[in-house]
Amino acid sequence: MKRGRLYAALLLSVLLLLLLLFPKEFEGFLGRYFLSKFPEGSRTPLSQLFIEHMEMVVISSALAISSGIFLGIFLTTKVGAPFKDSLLKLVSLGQTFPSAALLALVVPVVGYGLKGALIALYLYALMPIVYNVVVGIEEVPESVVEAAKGMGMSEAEIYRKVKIPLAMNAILGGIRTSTVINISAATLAAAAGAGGLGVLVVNGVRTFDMILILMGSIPVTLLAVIVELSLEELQKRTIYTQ
Amino acid sequence: MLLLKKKLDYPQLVYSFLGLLALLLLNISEVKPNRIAPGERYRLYELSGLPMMIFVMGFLVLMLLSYDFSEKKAVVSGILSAILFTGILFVLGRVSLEMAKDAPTMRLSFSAGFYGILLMMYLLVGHGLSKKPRRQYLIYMGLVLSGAVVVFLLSSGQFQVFSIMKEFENKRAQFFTSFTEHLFLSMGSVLAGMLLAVPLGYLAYRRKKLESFVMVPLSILETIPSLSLFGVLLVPLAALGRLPFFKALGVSGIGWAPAFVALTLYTLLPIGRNTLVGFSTVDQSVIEAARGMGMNRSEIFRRILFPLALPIILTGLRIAMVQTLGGAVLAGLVGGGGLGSFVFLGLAEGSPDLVLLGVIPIVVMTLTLDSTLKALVKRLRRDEL
Amino acid sequence: MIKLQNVVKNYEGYEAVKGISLEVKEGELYVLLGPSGCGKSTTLRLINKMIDRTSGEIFVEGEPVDAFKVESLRKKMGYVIQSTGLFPHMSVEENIATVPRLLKWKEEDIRKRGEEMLRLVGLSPEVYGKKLPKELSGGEAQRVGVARALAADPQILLMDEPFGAVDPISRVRLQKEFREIQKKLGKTVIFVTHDVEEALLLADRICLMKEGNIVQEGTPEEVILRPKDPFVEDFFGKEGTLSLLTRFKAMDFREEKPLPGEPLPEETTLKEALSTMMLLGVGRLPIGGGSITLAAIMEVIRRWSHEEG
Repeated sequence: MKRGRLYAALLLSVLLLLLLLFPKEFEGFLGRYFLSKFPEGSRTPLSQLFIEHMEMVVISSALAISSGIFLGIFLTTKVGAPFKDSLLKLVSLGQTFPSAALLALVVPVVGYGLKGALIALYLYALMPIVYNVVVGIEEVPESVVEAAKGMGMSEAEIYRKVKIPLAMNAILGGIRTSTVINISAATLAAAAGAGGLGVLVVNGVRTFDMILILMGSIPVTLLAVIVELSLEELQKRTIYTQ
Repeated sequence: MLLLKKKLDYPQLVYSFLGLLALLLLNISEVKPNRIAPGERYRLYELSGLPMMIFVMGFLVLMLLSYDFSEKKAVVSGILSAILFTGILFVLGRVSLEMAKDAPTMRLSFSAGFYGILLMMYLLVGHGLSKKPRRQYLIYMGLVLSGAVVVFLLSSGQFQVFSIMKEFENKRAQFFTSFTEHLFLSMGSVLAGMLLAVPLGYLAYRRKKLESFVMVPLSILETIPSLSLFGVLLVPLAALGRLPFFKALGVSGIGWAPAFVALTLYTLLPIGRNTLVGFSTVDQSVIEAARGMGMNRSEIFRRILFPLALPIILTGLRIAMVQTLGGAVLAGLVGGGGLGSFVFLGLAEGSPDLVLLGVIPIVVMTLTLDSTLKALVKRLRRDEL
Repeated sequence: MIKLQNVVKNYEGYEAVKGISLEVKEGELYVLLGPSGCGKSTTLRLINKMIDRTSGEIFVEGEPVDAFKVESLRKKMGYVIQSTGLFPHMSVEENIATVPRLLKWKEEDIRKRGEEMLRLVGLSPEVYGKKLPKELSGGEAQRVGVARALAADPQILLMDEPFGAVDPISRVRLQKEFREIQKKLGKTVIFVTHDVEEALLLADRICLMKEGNIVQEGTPEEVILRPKDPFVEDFFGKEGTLSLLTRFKAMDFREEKPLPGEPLPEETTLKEALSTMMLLGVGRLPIGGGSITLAAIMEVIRRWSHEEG
């Protein structure tokens, strides 16, 4: 089943859409299995929280992807190469920080709420992308670059026509990892005053309310799985060597 | 542009220049009369005279080293950076002690300038190491010595006015409790994960058909946000905790149980996947030869399969450990203790110092375990070849 | 067409090319031959400035190479390397179209030229056009490499052991076909190899190098029959004379006297003819309506020895 992933992603997207469009039914369904401390319909609408969550993820990921690709490419050029080792070391160090810790360090300094969360999420999403861009470009076979150079391509043309297309698999892998982690990390942003589906989860944890927890967790998980599957499918299309 | 005979090493130049700028232009610390009241921000030259000159010269030397950057200069740069940073810490300590003589509740916390310098020092040391000089160990020795000096100064009270130390003193007992809680929680989860995932990985290796059956659920598990997994386990574990056996163990909706179960589940993917991959990369011809020699299955496993798969399995273990040390922070939100309690307390109170008290031990533990395991795997691989 | 004057290339503490001078004429197939590490590849790559020379002058079509922007210089030359360097993410067509696209040719011209080049190297455009490099065999990939290098119709081709990674049977076929292509198109080719047979089959002139210096330069006959140096003698070995026979077609030396029996193929070289004669224990074989004799072959060798010696 070659298209298995794609169909699964589509199916889950439909499910997610349904949950968002019919939150009351969702709540009711859960209410059959779990007890809740809050009366129905007293919470912030699910769709609003979802949109807040998406906003956080989309903005921070978009910024991270664009600046990450830019920075990663820079580190592979002649000018940037001397900086590569030390900056990649920094990036690896950053990845050992748990996302909660980064959030908790950035937010008190920058300010609570959306702005602080966005900066923390951006920094955290940046790292896998930079790393994968650098590795992906360096893995392009020497002979291919040699042939391109010998044909008279300029440095920029070599990047545009050869290096970046061939590094796409790794780059998309980095984007995939980064975005999925970002979606998860954004749930913690609720603890820092930003909105998003994490609000439901955090409140649910504080009050032992299973329904709240599930109403927050299921959409987030669905979102993460959908993104993971779609990007993985996209990635498979960019493998050019045996 | 200047016509230089030899090449300039730009990272060295840029990092040391930025460090110098941070030293001169940015606020290095904030002095607060007590915990709550806002404080004054100071640049280093406002706090000290002569030492400042020495530090400026230190940075200038680092900048000069960028001309015709050789292996020797890399070593000098690495050691000098470590010494410089230790010196700045020392001076800040002395200055703070001076100032605190008149105001005992005063505290000094670090500002942008300090972190900027710290960042540049990290980059400088990393850059020096990346040149792979022959005397690389000298840089490490420099780092260890500086660390030792810092620890000495710490224990002799030089840093007691630093806000982070004041918080530490306030919450001493809690800190050590949290530290051990965190360590046990992380190591315990990883251990449990190994006990479950290694056999699972082996099983997936033996029966190809089971591979997807095992791996796919684990992959899906990995995409569940950690907090959600913690949360989802709350109610079931609370229910379980009503049973006498589990109650005695301390299993309940709050406490260590949800964190432990969730963290263990998260270790299953890296350990399980690496176990599978590790076994799979053992060359079939080697196993053929072993069988031909008359070894039975358990002997082959013990002497051939497992030792050869070990480096990759250990790498999976390393990944799981780093992941778990970080993930255990969330236990602080569900009452599971650990250093996460400091992190979330700091977040709620807006105190970066509390957060740092939680984060620094985690980072240190992570880096130590990460490099130790990396070195172990490297040693194993070298023996193999 | 291409001239090198006292070209030197030094790496840190190592002299790869020690001051060589040579001149390649238009339409010539000039082979740089020598053992590993003799500097032949380095010399080649100095011409299209893939490596920067330490000193000396290089002229292409009368102009010094420094007068051109390096990318323009390279677009004037085809460059074929051993590992082909075909772009894995592009089809065969798109690979071939690379330089014409860089030169902003019209799409229609690019398409036509691509088909022409594929046919030139013996591949059907309909079958191979849309294939990806990973679907090609070694020999097919190399053909595409050559087609790609010729696509923008450069006057000069630089080739660095292009057939080295191909299996021996395909390699001989590629060599023969390439020689035909080169003769037909009249391109100037500088060809690097360490394989004596290949050099003798292809070269108009051979330049034998050792440790960064030119030991001897000349036609294969000159180099083999009048070696200036024991190194040259040793390099070609005692079978040098026999190897020379690959350069000649038996068809060119046949007599009108017909002979019954299975005739030799038309492309048969004198060496192959001699070998068949030895196999069958005869002194005469039929070919192309006439026949070739052992005596004729020996006459060829004797004539050179007397002319050159």
